[in-house]
Amino acid sequence: MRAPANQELDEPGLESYAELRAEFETSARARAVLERSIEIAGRQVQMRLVGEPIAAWIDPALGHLASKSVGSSPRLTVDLFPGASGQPGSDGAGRISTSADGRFLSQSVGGCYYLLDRTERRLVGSICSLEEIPSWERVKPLSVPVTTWLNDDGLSVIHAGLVSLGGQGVLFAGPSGTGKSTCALACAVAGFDFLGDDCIILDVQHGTGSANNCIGYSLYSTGALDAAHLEKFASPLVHTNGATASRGKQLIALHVAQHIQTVPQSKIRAIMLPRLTQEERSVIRPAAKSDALRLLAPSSIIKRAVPAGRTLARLAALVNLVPSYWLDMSHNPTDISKAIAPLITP
Amino acid sequence: MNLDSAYAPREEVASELIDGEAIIIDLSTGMYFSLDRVGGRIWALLANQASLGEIRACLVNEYQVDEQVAGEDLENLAQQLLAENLIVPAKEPRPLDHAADETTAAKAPYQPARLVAYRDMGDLLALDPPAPGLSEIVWRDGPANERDER
Repeated sequence: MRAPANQELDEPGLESYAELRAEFETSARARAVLERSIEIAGRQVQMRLVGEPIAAWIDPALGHLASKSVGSSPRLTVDLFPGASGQPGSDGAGRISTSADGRFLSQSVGGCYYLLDRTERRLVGSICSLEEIPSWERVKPLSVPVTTWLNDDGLSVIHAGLVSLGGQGVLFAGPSGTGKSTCALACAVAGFDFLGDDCIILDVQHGTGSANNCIGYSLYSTGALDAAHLEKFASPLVHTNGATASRGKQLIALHVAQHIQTVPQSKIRAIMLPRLTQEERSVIRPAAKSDALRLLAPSSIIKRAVPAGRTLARLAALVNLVPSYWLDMSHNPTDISKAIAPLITP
Repeated sequence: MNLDSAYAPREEVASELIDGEAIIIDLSTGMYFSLDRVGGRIWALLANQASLGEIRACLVNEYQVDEQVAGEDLENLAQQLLAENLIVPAKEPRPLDHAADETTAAKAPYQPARLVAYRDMGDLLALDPPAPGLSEIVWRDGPANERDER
């Protein structure tokens, strides 16, 4: 497929993509290249990271998805290199563009400029300044191009937490500040497998009518929690040198916490809608499907990089197939796991 | 009320029906809405660009309500949906597949449609944006590797 000739600075095209790839190859010849093979949603992703600092940014978020096998035909390749100042992305402005035919998507954000070829499934990124990367991109690197690639493959990235026991998962839904991270981390500390605290890949196979086909995949192992909530955990979680995520939340790197187990995927057996109450202990109550969709959908589809309709349809299919519950939380996060464990243990 | 009028959801509005209720999300403002069962039925008919006359006939056929009450409630809801910028006038009505004058055997209890607005998401997104600049994206559908819903 050939893209039309494109001289517009803001609109990506074949020419700008080829230039960026050439810059990557030049950079890769001059410096050490660290190769990473990971699996995102069961799809092999091959990453080539030029220089240790870029690997030090990527590894905490995606390292838990490391794959032992190196396939000859990855589903996505990711090539990141340190760019020079003055290149796109070095001005700090957040901007996303697509080519006229939709094949290329570019994003400039903070000190990064990404260009995704959706046909060839290749992502190239120039990282001009790691210090300028905004906090949300630091915690969840490459989220816009990766979300776009996954959407092209029939998967949605949704705003929810997910933990599991023996491959049977509980999804935590709700807008920011309702307790998704607190619940997911409380369960992880209590021995559940951890898949994510507010960003999960959703695969719902339509037409099967079975909850067996609602699968959640882990994307990032980093989490973020209010400092006040963090103090309630008796077991220490791992901080990234006190680094903050968004809204003053503490950044937490879970992949290096030895007492926390991350897993790449699980079935979704229940949807939990947390809300803080004055209850003495955390309890669950059945919730209407419409309540679940109302709490799950808006923050998963508004201002996302992909069309909203498909994600909303997948969420509706999920809510139709999987039971939903209110989780009335006490002020003690350690009893959350006891409240939800009976739902997923035989 | 002009019974020949028809409407359609605005382009930047996403919606789904679940258990008969409609969840409606305005992607441009972050506001979202719910419509209970009678409202959900009306929304589904509006989204198919049925005329108000046809929608009223469906309501009378399916619910325990007379034509005058159904018409007044329908007009009231259409005004609310227009005020919230969720629907726009459609160029021309699209006829429904089935005839509304076939009487339904057992009619359901009727309650006027109730539109509930949730205005918190705009505030939350302002504090914690998924990514800046996304509202400016001009999305074009994917190339050949696009996978349809299975």
